[in-house]
Amino acid sequence: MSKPRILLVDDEPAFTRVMRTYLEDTGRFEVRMENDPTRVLPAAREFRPHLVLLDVIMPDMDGGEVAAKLKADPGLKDVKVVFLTAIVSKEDVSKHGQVIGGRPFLAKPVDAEALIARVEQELKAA
Amino acid sequence: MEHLHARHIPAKSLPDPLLDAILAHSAEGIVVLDTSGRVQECNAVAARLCGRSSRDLIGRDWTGLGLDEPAREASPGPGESEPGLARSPAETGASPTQPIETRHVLRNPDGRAVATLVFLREAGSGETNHTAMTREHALSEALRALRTSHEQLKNAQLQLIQAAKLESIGRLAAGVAHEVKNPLAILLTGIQLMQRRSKDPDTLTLLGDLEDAVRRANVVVVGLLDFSASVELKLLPVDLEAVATDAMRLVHHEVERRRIQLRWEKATPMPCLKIDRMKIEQVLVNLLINAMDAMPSGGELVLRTSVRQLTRAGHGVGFRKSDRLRLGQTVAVFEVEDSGTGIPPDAFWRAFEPFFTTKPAGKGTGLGLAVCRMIAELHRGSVWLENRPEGGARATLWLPAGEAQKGEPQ
Repeated sequence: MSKPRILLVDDEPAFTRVMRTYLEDTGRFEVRMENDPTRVLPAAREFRPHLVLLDVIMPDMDGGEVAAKLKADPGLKDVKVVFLTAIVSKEDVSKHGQVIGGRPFLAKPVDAEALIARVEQELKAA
Repeated sequence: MEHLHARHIPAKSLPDPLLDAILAHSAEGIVVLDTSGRVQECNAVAARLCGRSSRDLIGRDWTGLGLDEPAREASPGPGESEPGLARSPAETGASPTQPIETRHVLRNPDGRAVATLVFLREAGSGETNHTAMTREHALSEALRALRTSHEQLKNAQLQLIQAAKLESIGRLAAGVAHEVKNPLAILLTGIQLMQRRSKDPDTLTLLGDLEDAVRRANVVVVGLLDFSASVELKLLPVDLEAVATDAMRLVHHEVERRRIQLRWEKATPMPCLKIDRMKIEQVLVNLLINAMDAMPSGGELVLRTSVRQLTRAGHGVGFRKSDRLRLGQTVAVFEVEDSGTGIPPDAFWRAFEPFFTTKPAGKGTGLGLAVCRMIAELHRGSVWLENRPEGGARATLWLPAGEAQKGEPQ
């Protein structure tokens, strides 16, 4: 059985590099990273991820727009999206129940094991 | 509180309407007593401080004004008579033609005078003369009050400057959070990756220290975000006892871990008020955790809840239109008392400043009380700290509990 594919989208190359290495080290995922939000759609069409880990604040296009484009694409509309964001407070987390616009989110800096647990939960629900 | 002396302008030289206008607009309460100690005249401020209407005060014996200690304490100013309005001119050593003047100073919890209730008692003989003398004293009081108002305006200006600084911090917070949290995210994941790969115990210990440092930095940033996020309220009618119950539940584990005896004293039933439940709960939890931090070796922690009328002036509590809470107003009160070492004198005024903390490095962000005060003020309430005479400190949260704030729980 092939490993779940995760597309990691963040404009910070150092973050995507270190997170990809961590996820691949577990031996449970196949990971590709994308640092340019305007290139997510073609990257996703090619990689066909099961789940996209998506930064929210990015130049040129924010995470919400990227998620909307994925949702609008017939071949990608069912891909799971988990947001990673640096601009939430504890209050936001409890107020929104860890969901932004109906999608789950994790606050940066995220504990890697907590991220994996959330990713596996989403993949299981697929 | 500054006193104004010296300038005795003959009252006779001023037209009565002007004198009356000055009295009417005096920031200090002024009461004129006749020779038998009955109220002859009073201005609106005095009536408000006494909790009665002017009409109700006129003709009443001063001893029936219900000035309770220690809320109002007698305190003579320089050159003034000794406290005690019932004393006669002979007892005070005043000339029979001199009016007797006594003042009750209203103080806030740290002892700073914030308002004065001035009693002018007319002397024994010569009605025309003593009326003029009394008016002269009243004029002197009005000038004193003008000087006081000027000082208070200057203080208000300083507070506005401080508020503007806090607003700037709030605006900056989200931007700072984004710029700092991203590098923290890289560091944390990198550290956790190395922990995963390393088997060397010394390396793992060092990586553990690094991870702690990153988490501490993140706590500061999250505190900043909470600070900036505290400006919007979602007001719904909430049973305040339920809020206190939730706050107690949230700290329950820490209370047990730190061997602290927690007691909830319900002095009166608590009302249902329109508040932002999460934010008020956040304030209570903050105050409870602060109190616990003040007792590192354990101790006694008391949460006391009550509804009562305000009798003491304090931060945001007074009798001016600008005060969020007025003396005599009904308030819901949450008091958190600890049996710790109390608050150092130099920390009193800075305790509510952002980033000021007396806790050891890494134990506090210095934002907790600043957030508490901001949330309390958004609810038109107030929060204050004081040392208890019997030891330890008391933090008090006041919330207005008038009919306008009440509501049925949803």
